[in-house]
Amino acid sequence: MKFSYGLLQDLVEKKLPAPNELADFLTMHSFESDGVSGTGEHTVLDLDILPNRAHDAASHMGVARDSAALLNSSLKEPARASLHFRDTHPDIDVRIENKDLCRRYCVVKIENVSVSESPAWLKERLEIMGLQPINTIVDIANYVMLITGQPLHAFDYEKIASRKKSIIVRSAQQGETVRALDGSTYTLNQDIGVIADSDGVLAIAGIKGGSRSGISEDTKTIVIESANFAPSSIRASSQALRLTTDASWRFERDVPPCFAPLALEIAAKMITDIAGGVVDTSAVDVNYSTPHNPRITLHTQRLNRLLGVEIPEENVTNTLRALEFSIEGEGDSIVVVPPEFRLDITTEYDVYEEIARITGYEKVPATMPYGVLSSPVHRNDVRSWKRRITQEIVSYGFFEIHTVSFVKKEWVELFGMTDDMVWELENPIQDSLPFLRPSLIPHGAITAFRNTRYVNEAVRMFEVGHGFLKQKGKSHEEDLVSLVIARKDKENDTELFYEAKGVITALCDSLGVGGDGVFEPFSTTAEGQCQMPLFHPLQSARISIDNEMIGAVGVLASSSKTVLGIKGTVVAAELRLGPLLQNARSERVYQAVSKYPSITRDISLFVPLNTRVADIESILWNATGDVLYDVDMFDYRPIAQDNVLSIAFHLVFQSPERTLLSQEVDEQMELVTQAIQQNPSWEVR
Amino acid sequence: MDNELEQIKTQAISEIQGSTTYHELDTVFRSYLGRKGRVTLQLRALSGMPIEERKTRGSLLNGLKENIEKAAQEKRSALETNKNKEEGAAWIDITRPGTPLQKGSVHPLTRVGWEIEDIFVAMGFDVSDGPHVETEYYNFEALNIPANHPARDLWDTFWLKPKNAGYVLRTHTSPMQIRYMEKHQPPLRLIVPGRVFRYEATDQSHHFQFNQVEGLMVGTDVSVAHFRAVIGEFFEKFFGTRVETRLRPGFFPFVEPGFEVDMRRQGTGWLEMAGAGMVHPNVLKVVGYDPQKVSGFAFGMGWDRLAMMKYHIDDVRLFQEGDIRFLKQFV
Repeated sequence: MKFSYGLLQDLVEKKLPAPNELADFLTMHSFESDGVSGTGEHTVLDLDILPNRAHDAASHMGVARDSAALLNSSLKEPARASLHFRDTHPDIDVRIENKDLCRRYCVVKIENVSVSESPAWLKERLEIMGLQPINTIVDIANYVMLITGQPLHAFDYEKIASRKKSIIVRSAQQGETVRALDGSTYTLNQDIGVIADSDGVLAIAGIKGGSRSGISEDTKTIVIESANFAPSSIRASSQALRLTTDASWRFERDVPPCFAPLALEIAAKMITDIAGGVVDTSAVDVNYSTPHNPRITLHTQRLNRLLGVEIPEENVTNTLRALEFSIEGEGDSIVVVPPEFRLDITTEYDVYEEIARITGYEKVPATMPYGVLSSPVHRNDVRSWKRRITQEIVSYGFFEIHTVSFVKKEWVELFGMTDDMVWELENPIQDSLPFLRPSLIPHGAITAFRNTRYVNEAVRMFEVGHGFLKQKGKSHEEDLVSLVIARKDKENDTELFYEAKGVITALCDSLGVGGDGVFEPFSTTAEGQCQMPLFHPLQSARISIDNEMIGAVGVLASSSKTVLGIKGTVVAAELRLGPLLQNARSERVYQAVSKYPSITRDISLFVPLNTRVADIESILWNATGDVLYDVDMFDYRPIAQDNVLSIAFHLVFQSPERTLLSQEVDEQMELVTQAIQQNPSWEVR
Repeated sequence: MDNELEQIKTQAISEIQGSTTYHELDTVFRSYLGRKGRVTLQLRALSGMPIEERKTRGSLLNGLKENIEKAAQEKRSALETNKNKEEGAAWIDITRPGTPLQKGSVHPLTRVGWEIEDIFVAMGFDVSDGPHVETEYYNFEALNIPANHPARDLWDTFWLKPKNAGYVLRTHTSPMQIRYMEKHQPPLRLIVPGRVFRYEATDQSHHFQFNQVEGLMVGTDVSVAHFRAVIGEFFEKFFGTRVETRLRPGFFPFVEPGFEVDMRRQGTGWLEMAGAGMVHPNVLKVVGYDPQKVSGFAFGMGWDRLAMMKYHIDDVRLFQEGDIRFLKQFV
């Protein structure tokens, strides 16, 4: 918000420091400065008024008050007319019908004003603060708002209906309309407050004036309104009308009701000084507001403990006096009452903040806390596992990525999910990304594919992150890890599937995952559709341990690639960390390596194409006794023209107890050969 | 006798000079002076001789030994100069590139997150993450941000459908303050690193999803002074250099007093790094703590920004784009 250095100086008794110095000073104690611009009379400070101070300090008097307190000076109040406020008036009848909307309503009548162009100094000051000069009356109303923070509105007295002018503050009727000063017409409803006379709406309360009673060059008698509207009501109206004005912005931030008569007196004085006219000193003040005067007991010991530094009592009281608090008592039980306009001060802690910031945080030393060494530190297990998983997958040559948590509707369908299983955003950032991701794969696949243009062969990427599901209206959030391998040049490089599977196996080994991990095909629906449409139905697997699904791996179906806008071969896998880590073990137990040598024999087979390796392996294991130590497939060559698969294994025999005899192993191999030959379509080479 | 030794000497020196490789030289040398070498054996035989003969012969033999050693030494130096020629066949081109290893990389944000965690863990802080889908209660109300309060405008919020169900994407990591305090008793020290969401336009320095790290320390007499020390320690460890910090007034509904934390490294200007403050008594009350007995500090810091400063990255969008040319710089 822009502040005129000249106007601030007008409001502080002492000479202000140079603009830049003042800006730094305010930054450290009150409000951050976004910079100083202009010189001389045009010097403007751009200050970020903190949200909790917008009610009292989004004004020159507010900033001048803080500046004065910091400079050990005091506020120089602007000149004001002396008005006698009563709740009735012979010519003007003010009636507040909706007290939830309006808490205080003050008006003053000024006769014989001359509406013309404002003097140069006034126009300049308005302009440097971003306001367009219009005429003396409107300009003064705006200027007094900049001084006090209280929005004002001027009506042309003659244009208010009937002889005895009645000003009614009420809710609008459904469908009532008002033409605003800027010419646009607004249609209102009961949630919107208005200022009305017997003929209808004069202004949208606290937001915008209407054209019917607007000030023109011909205006002779005016009524200035200085009212207080409730923030929630203005906020609702402003949202309903999609209209924010300087006035509505301020009322939403809860302008202190005590500003209403003050601003009116300042405005009356300025108008007679600049636009001439005669003030009717009998002014109206209809007031339903509750005064803000909490009595707050301070505990200086608590203050000192909170800050970690001893603040002398004298500093406490001096600071609070400078901020216009009234003070009673002393020692550890000082009772203070904040000034009426400091609506933000309600508890002792609010007061401690005032003392701390005016004193300056630079007075607080950095002191290391001390505490019990054995203070309980609960390491979050999932977090430390995630770090291990990340390091592990990186060591397999994968690049970690962080992708967006939002996905498209069509992507959700790839997981066989319906809209009610995922979260939809009320206000998506892009209409095309309305859902929260149930899986990390879609963005991962797209990202990996996009990178294939920079890499000669496959791109390997992974992400560790949250997936979001909705279950019976409740949030179900999961830690997921996904990996994607993509290559653009080959359409059907199924070797990548085995690479992904190899990564999963290696990862599970490194996590000490026990339990029986099983890779099995996804089931298909009655229509023959894969349960997981993302994947090629014959090139994908659900992974489970002890019957609980921990993840999936597969080659992306061409239809999925079309949906994602990618090509080539893309293999993806995703693991659910919750159930996976249930089976993980961070402890390792060493098992003695056999002291006796192992003997390795190879066996090569011809089997029909599509024979499952798992089936062959299980026959190998079942055929032999407990001296078979390991089975390791080392050759796998489908020979399409002969409809046969050439496959070979190393069989490793070893005993933990003795040296095996060659003859013994020969016998084992004989058993293996016999078992294989049980199947007439299998052949040992 | 002398003749015999003279003959050995001549023969030895000629054989030494005739050697063409180290190996050959070594073999020759050992045949004279090795454990079973001709000269060695004669030296050993001395012990069985009468004293007089031992003396004369001993000095002759030692002379012979020195001659052979000297010749071998000279030959070794000569061979040294021929070494490259000698192993010529085994020449490799050391300028050829090493075999490329398939390497991946940890994302720079993850990397920085781990650094942050490690520094705070070393100061006794616990680490927790928390859900990204939050309830209005934890994201706002429990943090002293009531419904319809203008303070809610401070956070541009993503709402989930239906809006009246009261679910949001967390706009900050602060909800975990409440969740954690509900489950633990003071004294406690916690950091919450994690993803947060704001409904705002994306540009070079803003993204609708970014990462924050929340900090919380609650105990008897935890003070602003303690916060200054802890945050200062963090910055110095993180940047590995002397760092100045300063606090100035700030406003967050869940702290009182509230401040902004600025940091300055030598020779640079002040940078706004974090929002912080003393935990608001209303927040302590919400979780059943007694504000008269315990106090605490809390802070929230943009972790993307820390990463950008650390690696001199000038565009926050790079973190989410997953461009391999970016990621490869972090292998």
